Amino acid sequence: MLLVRHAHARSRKDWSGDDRRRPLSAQGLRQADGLVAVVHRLGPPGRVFSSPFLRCTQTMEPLCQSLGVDLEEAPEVSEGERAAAISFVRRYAGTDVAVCTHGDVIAEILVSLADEDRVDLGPNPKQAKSSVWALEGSDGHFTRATYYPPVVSSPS
Amino acid sequence: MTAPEDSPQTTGAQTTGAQTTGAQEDGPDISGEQLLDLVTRALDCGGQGIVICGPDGTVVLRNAVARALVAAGEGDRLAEVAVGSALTRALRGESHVETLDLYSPTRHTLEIRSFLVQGPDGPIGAVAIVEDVSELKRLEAVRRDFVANLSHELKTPLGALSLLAETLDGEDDPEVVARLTGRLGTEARRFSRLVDDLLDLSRIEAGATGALVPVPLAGVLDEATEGFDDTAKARGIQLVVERAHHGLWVEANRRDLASAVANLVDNAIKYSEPGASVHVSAVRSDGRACIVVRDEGIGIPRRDQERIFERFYRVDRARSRWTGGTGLGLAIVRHVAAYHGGDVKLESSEGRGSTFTISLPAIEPIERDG
Repeated sequence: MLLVRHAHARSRKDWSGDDRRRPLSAQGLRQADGLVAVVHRLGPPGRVFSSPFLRCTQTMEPLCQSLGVDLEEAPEVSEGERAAAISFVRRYAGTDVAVCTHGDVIAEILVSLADEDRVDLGPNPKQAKSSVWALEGSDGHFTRATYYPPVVSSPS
Repeated sequence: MTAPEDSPQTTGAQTTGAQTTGAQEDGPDISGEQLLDLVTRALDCGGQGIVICGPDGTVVLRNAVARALVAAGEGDRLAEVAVGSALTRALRGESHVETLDLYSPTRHTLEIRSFLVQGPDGPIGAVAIVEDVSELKRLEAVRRDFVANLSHELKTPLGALSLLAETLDGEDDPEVVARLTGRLGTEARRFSRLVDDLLDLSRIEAGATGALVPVPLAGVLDEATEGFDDTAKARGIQLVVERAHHGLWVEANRRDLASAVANLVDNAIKYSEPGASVHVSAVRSDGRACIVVRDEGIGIPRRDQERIFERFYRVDRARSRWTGGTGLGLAIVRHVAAYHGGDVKLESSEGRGSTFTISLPAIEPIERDG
């Protein structure tokens, strides 16, 4: 399972509409393109899920096109979700799926894995935008988590 | 470790001389045979198995402990062979230490050390010292596990802080910022509680607990339940503190005992559903003063009841994280009860609730306080 943090989005300050519809920045769109190669190298997933927020679905768009699969929206991993997101990820443990979500959700999922499954996250766990955590496990439990930083870096 | 290691060997070497001179001149009238018997039995006192052989490797002395350790069961040929080869090596001048894991009749670990025994004109034999180090090995394993667990327990909230901080970076929605800083605060508090509990545990284990003084249990209960009314109310739980037994006194470190009881009350509230009640009372039972914390909460599965007092053991790790538990609370309660000369017992059934009872030696009240 690949857990993807959405790419760089346009600033909230410059966006007057619904935050759920806030799109990726130009940099973020490049990161989304860069993600395709990373995911293909890790092993292409059979299904692609995403938080319904536009910045997440846009992140996975180039990947879905290259894989020829439809994006499946998963409200369980929307921003601010905790318990629902953790059980969603556990449900797909050990399957070939990619899930795009938000930084706060990734933090909760990884801490749950560290705490309950005793997965080692390494000395100083990170989650840059459009980065990937590869999670290995089966039957609702995880055994290993490996971090892959983005190939196109985020503007600072 | 040095003293028991050296003394039997020295004793053994001196015995050779003592048989001719010491027994006749300085000591009581004792035959060589009696002296040998005395020495062999004396060697049993240290709890070590001693096997001594002559220069040709023939075993000339084996104390009772050695017979018990080395030839305890059919599966113990292994131990006998190991002792034999340890003696042979010693005779060749190789001092030797070996640990041997045995599985029959029960699982245990022997440590075998062997030494060459020098006489005035050269080697006159060898000695093997056999010790059952199972308990030592077990304690070592417990300590290793604890350090591994501890590292993981410390790393988890730190990892959470690192991941949440990165999410916060560049975030400008005040609502999201507020939520994330709230989460950062929770993880930081969890980390600091963990450190506090660890310090408490090591202070108690080191025996740095201060003198025990007579205290009334009613006062301990007041102190322990203080401040829980709001928490209980917020969770829709009725906290009932029964103060009927005012005559009960114990010798205690009041702060530690109150914080142990507070720990039980805190758990009882956390693991109860809204509408339930938590009862705290002090009762006299068989001449002992008992503090009883009873809840109607989710209860503890039978298979977990034995282990619940172990450090970092949790029935439900996810729930423990939501409720902010450190996994050390009940270990501290057990240690506190123990150093007060008491113990803590648990009765629980799943879905019906748990009752924790701290039972301490009761003392005469210093003054009537009712």
